[in-house]
Amino acid sequence: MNRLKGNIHSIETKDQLSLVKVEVKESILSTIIVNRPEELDYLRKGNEVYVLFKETEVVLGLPELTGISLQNRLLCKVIDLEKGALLCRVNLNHPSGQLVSIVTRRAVEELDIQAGSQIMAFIKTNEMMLSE
Amino acid sequence: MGEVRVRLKKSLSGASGLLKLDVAFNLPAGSFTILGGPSGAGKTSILRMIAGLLKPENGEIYVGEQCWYDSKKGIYLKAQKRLQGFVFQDYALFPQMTIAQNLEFAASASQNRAKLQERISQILEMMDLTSLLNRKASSLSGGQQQRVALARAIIRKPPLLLLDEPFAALDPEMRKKMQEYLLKLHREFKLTTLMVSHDQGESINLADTIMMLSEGKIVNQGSPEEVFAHSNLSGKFRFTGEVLSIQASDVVFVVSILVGKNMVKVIVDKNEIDQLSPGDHVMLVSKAFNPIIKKIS
Amino acid sequence: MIDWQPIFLTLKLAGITSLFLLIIGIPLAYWMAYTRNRIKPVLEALIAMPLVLPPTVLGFYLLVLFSKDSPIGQWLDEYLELSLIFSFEGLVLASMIYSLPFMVQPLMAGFSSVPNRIREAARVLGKSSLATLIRVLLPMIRPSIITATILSFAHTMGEFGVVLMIGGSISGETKVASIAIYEQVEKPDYPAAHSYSLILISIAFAILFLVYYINGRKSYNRWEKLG
Repeated sequence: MNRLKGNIHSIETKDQLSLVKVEVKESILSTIIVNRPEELDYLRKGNEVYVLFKETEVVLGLPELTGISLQNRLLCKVIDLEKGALLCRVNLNHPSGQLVSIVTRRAVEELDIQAGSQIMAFIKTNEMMLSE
Repeated sequence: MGEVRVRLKKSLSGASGLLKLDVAFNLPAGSFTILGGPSGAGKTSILRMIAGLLKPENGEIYVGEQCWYDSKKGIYLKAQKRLQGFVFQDYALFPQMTIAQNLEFAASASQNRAKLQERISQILEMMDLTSLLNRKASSLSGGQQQRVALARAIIRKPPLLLLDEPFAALDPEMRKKMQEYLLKLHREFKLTTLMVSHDQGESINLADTIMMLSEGKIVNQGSPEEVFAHSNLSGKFRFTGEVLSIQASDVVFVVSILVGKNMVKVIVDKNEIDQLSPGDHVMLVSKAFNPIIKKIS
Repeated sequence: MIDWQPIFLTLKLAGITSLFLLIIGIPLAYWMAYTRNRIKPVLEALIAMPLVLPPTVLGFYLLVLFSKDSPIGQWLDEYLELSLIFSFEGLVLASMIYSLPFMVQPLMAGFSSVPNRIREAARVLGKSSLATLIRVLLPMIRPSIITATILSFAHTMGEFGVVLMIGGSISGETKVASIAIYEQVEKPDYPAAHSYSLILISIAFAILFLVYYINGRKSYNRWEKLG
């Protein structure tokens, strides 16, 4: 599980859903959760929270990629890669912390990702969880 | 043996001012209950009141048919008169005695000598203490001392075993071992057990019921699953299960988990795999967005 | 050739005093170490008084108290046919009061050094206070018992003022070594005074050496690591 620390930047609520924006270093991540602020006591503007997401939910793209719906973008530097037969585990460094992406080996080869490359990590808004 | 019924009230002056302790609970015969909660909540005081080491203001303590304390009837048995096992965090062995002498001293005068020797050897064997029999208590390691303390506590066949954070002073590895010893004893002798513990993993591994105490009141009570599922994680899709196996697959791991009667498989990254081993109780969490629903009929 | 009787009398007095003190000192120190009674500091102060008062004050009041002119002295004389002044029995009683702190204080320190948990552990195992005292506490504080007994013995050997006040110098009854030395100096017979003094010095050194040797080997705080 990837885990980044940040502070709640804003909360928008509609019916059962809340869109929570969390400010991490050099980026703002948004997550959508099935909770209203009054149900989760740490859901307050400015509170320190962790944003959690699974390694397998991190999409990798080239930094200059445009025209995509994914809101959560973290410009990272590749630390190293562990290539398996089918999958590849990519260790990434972002100013707010380290994270891991698990993508297919083929994708890594097509994008020519190597240690030291700059890469954009994308995470879907609904794949992110919050924790105190 | 029978159910243990406890109702206690007492005002205690603690580090953070006055604490009004007010609890009522039943321990079914043969059950294993863990009393958890933050320090200063009154956990140890409850245990000490049941043991007769601290006098409540009012309430009652019944162990089966036997009354240990009833403020209405004016009954208060001294600690010496309560047939109980008590294990302290700091072992409290009698240091100048050998292990054998500690156990023999603990036996009550009315116990049949031959049967007592049989029981002592049975317990010593279960606890792997036979080889330490003639060692002085003060020469043993922490884990060994606590094993002796456990053995000493049950020599008299008490209907109720009380443990006050017994493994808190031990390192994690030793703690896990001690939990196994305790479970073994509990299965063998079916003692009604009440244990104070801070450790969530310990609680999940040992208890069939957990009572969470806060500021002198029981604020949450139930099975470990029920109590700990109220976690502060925002994920909506939650189950508890037991890890059956872990298999490395390519660069990731496949963890098989038994949830209820079904086995599920989850992909886990190697960063988290160190903390998992087969037999662990775990919680499965996912977001409400992920599951797909398919009607069965 | 010196008269050995004062030396033997000194050892006899110190021995009997230490034994009696041990018998009353253990229950007293036990009670004092664990009680929460408000009179505890009063008793502690009383027991420690002989440490600070000149021995002559103690001797003087005992003399007044036990003389045939006082009601207590009269009663003792009439009913028990016991005279506590100018007698060996009187010396024993006076020495017990005089050496009381040397017995009680190390014993109290010993009892207090036993973690509370140990006594609680015995209670939850159903053991009475007496069984706990005999089987658990006394064996645990054995170094303190040895220290207390030897210190009481040594301190009684060295007393002078109290003995002088209520014992006088009756040969074989109250004439202990310290009194004998005083008399030899008064005479003056310095060689005899030297002999008694050197014997006392040797015995005192031997005893104190024993205390430190035993305590060096078996430290009080042996139990501390058990918490």
